[in-house]
Amino acid sequence: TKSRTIRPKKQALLITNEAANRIKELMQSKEDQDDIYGVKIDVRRRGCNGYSYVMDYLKKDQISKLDEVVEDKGVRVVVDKKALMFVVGTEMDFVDNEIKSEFVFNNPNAKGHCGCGESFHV
Amino acid sequence: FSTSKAGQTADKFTEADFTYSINQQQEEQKKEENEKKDPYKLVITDKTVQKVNQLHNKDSSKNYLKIFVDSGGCSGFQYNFKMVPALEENEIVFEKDGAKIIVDEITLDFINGSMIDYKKEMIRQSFEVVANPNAEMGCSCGTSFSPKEK
Repeated sequence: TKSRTIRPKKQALLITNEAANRIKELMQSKEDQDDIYGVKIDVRRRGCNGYSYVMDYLKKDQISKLDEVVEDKGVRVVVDKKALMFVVGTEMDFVDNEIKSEFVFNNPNAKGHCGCGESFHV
Repeated sequence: FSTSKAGQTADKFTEADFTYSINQQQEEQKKEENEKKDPYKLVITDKTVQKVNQLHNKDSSKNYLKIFVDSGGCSGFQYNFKMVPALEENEIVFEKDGAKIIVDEITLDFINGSMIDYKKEMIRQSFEVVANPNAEMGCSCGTSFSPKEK
């Protein structure tokens, strides 16, 4: 009989240090932070190029069974089950300059994106 | 005989239509001229004021928030923002509660009458030009737009 080893599951979403720090900051600035489990990432069908990313706070009881929970660098990011297929393997980064600060998603599945980078298609 | 009559009325109709459109054009031209005579106007939100002042306090050499329009983006043109130390030629200053925003005249033709906002969302915090009366449609992110034909 062959011995079967379970491969460790690959992380669905990579989080850079900058993104992790920003999420920590966001969590701390939230007043009812005890309730908040993490941040949630989802995609919506909108924008000029198909899909765009949506982010929000998430409470523990709002997680559904098939959502992917990524715990890395001290933060929790929950990827919605519907978004998982689109964002798997994506690197989540945070870019901050004086004029704007935003989360940037480097998505290997995206075949193209809009001029401003907000929406993408697969 | 009756057909020629019908033709005549049709001719008259198109002629009338034509003069109407000319009048309308003239009216629109007049309107545009009147608008040009009006002083430029921008609505600046409190959040924008707050952010510009904050940036100025951080680095006191940067006095102005400059708004300029570049080609690019999915709708033809896009808004750009920059903190700059000094005024240049043909730039107009809008001031509110100590926050100074500068726009050159060419850019103003594109954005006159708009609202300048600093949007704070979880995913993104940035300056935005909102409700631009000169823009026909914009990109979902709000940085890109196409101007109305004049």
